[in-house]
Amino acid sequence: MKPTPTEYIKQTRENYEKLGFEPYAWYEAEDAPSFASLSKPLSESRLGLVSTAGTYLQGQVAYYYKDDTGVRAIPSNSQIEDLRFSHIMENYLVEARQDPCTVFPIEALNSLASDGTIGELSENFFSCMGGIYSTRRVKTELIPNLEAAVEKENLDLLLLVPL
Amino acid sequence: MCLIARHFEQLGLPTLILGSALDILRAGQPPRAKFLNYPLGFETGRFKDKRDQLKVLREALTGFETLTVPGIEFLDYEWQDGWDLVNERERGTQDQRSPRTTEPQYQTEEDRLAAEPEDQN
Repeated sequence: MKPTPTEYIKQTRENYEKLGFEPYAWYEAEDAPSFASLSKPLSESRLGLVSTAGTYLQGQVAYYYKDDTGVRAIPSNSQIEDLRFSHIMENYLVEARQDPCTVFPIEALNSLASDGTIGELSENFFSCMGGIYSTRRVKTELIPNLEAAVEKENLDLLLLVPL
Repeated sequence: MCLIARHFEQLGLPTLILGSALDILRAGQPPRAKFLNYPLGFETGRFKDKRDQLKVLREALTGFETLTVPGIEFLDYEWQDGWDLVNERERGTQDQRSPRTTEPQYQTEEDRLAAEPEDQN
């Protein structure tokens, strides 16, 4: 039988209430999003990646768990065995620490660029840590950090993978 | 992640979210999203299953071209073994968070030494 999609918001809200934690405020959109048209097909496009799984490379500084809004550049040709994770919800990363491609699809994206499905990959992919309690800090720190990083990559398309 | 997607889209860059928390995606009204009903931690495919990971990515990326108005499309894949694995681990545990500290939390001590060599002496 097909599993019903998990109600993460309800589940976490109830758990945090029982534990006496302050509630986590998920973003709730009040209006429809902007929608940018593709200028060319995927097979001719330069694709970038942003992951909120707290991915870093060995040699880079790891994330701290209280609202870290920093961004790490991960070259798209990085070796899989150099990928690491630190994230406040690290319980979700037990397997990813053995097989990073369960959350950071570097191998599949390289394969799809090689076979022509994707035009090309950006030189760098990026990661940050999700689980930031302050929406204000997401808007005033994290998003500007990501925008500055992504800007240099001359992207046509951006794939986003939340943890 | 929806806030990030909406921001880049407003700047004119088309985005696609590949995610596994449907309620969180719906709340954020992303421009384009593909929902994969696997446990969190496997948003881009099954554990040590390169074939599945490639299939998921290949299918997800079609969303850039098939979604012509804002929306969330479902990837029609199942993975009961993954749910069993996660449910077994989380049985009886309520608090999934790690402590909210301000010190970098390295995956291994070796990583810390590689990033902060001045601490070696």
